[in-house]
Amino acid sequence: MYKVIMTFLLFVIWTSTSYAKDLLFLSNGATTGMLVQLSRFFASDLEKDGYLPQIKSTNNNCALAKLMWDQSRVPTLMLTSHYGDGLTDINNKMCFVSIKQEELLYWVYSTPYVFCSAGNKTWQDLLIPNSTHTIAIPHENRSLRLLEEISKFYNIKIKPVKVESSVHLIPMIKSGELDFVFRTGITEFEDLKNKCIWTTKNENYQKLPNGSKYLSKLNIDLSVFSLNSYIVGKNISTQDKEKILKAIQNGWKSEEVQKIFTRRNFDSNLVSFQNKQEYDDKIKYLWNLIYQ
Amino acid sequence: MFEIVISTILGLIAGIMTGLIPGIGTTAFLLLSLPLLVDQSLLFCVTFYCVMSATSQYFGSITALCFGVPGETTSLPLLSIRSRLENENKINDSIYISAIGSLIASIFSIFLIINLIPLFSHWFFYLKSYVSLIFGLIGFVLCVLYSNNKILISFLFAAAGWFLGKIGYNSITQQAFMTFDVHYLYSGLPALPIIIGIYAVPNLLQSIFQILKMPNTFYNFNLRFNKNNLLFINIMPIMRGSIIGFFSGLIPFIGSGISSLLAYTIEKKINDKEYIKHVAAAESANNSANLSVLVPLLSLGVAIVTSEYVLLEILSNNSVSISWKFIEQQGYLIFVSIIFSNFIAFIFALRLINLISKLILKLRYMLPMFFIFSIFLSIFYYGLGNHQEYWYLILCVVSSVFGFLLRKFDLLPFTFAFLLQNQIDVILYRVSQIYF
Repeated sequence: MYKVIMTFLLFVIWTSTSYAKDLLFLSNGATTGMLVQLSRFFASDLEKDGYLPQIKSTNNNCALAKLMWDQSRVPTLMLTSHYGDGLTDINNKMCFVSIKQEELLYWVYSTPYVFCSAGNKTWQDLLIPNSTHTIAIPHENRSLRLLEEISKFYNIKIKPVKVESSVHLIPMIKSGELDFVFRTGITEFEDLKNKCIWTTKNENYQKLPNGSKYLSKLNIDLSVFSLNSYIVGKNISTQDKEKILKAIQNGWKSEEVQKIFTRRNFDSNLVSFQNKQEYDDKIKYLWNLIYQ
Repeated sequence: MFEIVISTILGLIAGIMTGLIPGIGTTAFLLLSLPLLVDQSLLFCVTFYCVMSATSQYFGSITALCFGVPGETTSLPLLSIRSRLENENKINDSIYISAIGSLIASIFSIFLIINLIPLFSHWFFYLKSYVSLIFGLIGFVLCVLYSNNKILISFLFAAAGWFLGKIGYNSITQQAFMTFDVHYLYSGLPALPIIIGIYAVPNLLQSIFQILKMPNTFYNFNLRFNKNNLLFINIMPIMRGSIIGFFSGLIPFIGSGISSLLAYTIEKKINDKEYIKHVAAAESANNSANLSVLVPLLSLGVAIVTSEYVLLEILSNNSVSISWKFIEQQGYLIFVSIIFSNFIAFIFALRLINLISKLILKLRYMLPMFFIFSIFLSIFYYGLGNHQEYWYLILCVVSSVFGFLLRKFDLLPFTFAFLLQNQIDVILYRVSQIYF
C-alpha cells in the first residue's frame, strides 16, 4: 500500500513539473484595479497557449510583490506601472525592483501628462510674477521638480499638492481648492473638459499642443512625463519568451483590452508592434524612457 | 435591473438577520457579508447596505419584545419597559405599533432625504479639505467625549487606533512608519480583518451568551385588535419620534445610536405612563435615524457611522466611490428599493413573527457558530485575493482576542481613529499645502 501511495505521489509531482507550464503572474495593483484586470485578460490568452498562469495580486503592497518577485524560482511575469507603482520607485527601498533590459517583455500602455486649469485661471494668469497657484500632481517627485523649475524661472509661488487618485482629485476640483492639475488621464473629467492647456506628448494628443511650446524658455524634456505600464519576466527560456509574447500580444489586441485603452485615452500606436524589429525598437525606446 | 433586485432581496435578508440575531449590528453583518460584496458594483453595494440598514430596525424590536433580548442596541428603551407592557397585556399592541411606526418614520425620512440630498450635493463648500478636517476633528472629539468609557480611556483607545492606523509606508512623505522591514506591514494594517476581530467576533460570542439566556417558549403574537384606533392614538408620538430621529441621525458618529433613547426620553416627559407611546416614539426614531444617516453618505460620499466607514472601505477595495453623478443617475433605484423593502419588512415583521420566533428558538445554538465560521472563512477569502490570507487570519484572531478582552469598553474611539488615520493624515497634508 505504501509503495502504491509513494508511486502515486511521485507520479503527481513528476506530471506537474514536466507537463504543466506553470507561470506566476504578479501584480501589485488593487484586487479590482486595472492592472489585475489586464493580468486576467493576458492570463486567459496564456492559458490558451498551454500555460497555467497563476495570478497573484498583492493589493498595493509593493514590498510583498517585490519579495515574491525576488524569491520566485519559476517562470514569472509581473505587470507594473512606471511612476505609478512603488516597484519602480528607486527611493522606495523596500519595493524597488531593479530589472535588466532583457527582462523587459512587453509595453502594455503609455499615457501622457496633461496640464489643465481646474478653475478660471489661464496659463497667462499662472505666469503673472509673484502670483500664487495651487497645483495638483501625482505622488512622484518628477512633477514636483518640474513645478519647482517653473516657479523659480517665472518667479511665481506654486503650492504643489500630491493627490493619489481621481477619487480624491474630483472633490478638490469641485470645491475650488485647486487652480491647476498636472497628471495623466484627466482630459475626460467633466470639470476639466475644454480646460486643458498642454500635454507632454509630441503628437497631437486630444488636440492639445505640446507643453514645450509653453515652457520653451526652460530646458526641460517633457517626453519623460508619461505613465507607462509594462510586463517584466524572469526565469523564462528564449523558446518560451516567444510563445508568451505572442499570447500577450493576442490578449493585448483583444476587444476587451482595447476597450479599456480607448476609454482611458491610452496611446496604442506608441506601444504596438508588427514584427521583431519593431518590437526590439519599442522595448529599447521604453527602456530609455524609464531609465534615462 | 437584475442587479438591483438581487441586492434588494439580499439586503432585506441581511436586514432581517441583523435585526433578529441578538448582538449582531449592521457593522458586524456588513463585515460578514464581505465575500458577497467583493467585486460587486457600486449600485449593488450601496443598495444592499441601504436596504439592510433600513430594514434591520423592524426586527430588532421583535426579539426585544418577544424574548426580552435586544436585537439592536437601539431596542434598549423597549427592554426597559417590556415588563410593564407585559403586565398591561400590551405586547401585541407594542409589536404592531413599533412596526407601523417604523414604516411611517421610514416613509417620512425618505421624503425628507429625497429633498435634502440635492441640497447637500450643491454645497461644494462641504468638500473643501479644511471642512473635512474640521468634521474629522469634531468626530474625534465627539467619539472621545460621548463614548461609554471614561474620557481618558477613550482618548487612549483613540491614540492606539491612530498609532496602528499609521503603520505602513506613506507615499506622500515617502517614509515608512513602524514597518520593521516586515513586508506585510508595508501597506499598513488591513482595516477589515482588524475591525471584524474587534467588533464582529466579540459581538457574536456575546450573542451566544445572550441566546443561552433566552426562555424556551415563544410569545404567541396575534393581530386581533383595533389597529386603526391604536394608530390614531399614537400618530403624534410616531411623528415626534420620526422628526427627532431624523435630525439626530444627521449628527456624526452618535446620531443613530442615541435617536431611540432621545425620542423615548422626550416622550416620557410628555406622556409619562403611556408606555405604548414610548414604544411608538422610540421605534419610529431609530428607523428615521437609520435612514437620515444616509444623507451625507449619498450626497457627499461621507461616512458618519461605523457601518458606513466599513461600506466605504469595501467600495474603495472595489475601486469605486459614491459620487453625485451616481446618485443622480441611479439614486431613484436605491430609493425605490428602500421603500419597497420597508413595506416588505413591515409585512414580514407582523405576519411572520410567530414563525420567526419558532425558528430563532430552534436554530439558536447553531446560528452564532455558523456566523463565527463564516467570519473566518470570509477573512481567509478576502486575504486570498491579496495573497495575504494567513496574515489576515492572524490579524483577525489577535484582534478578536483584544476585542473580547475589551468587550466591556466602547471601542468606537479606537475604530474611528484607526479607520480615519490615513484619511485625516492626507487631509492634514492637503490643508497645510493649500492654506498655509
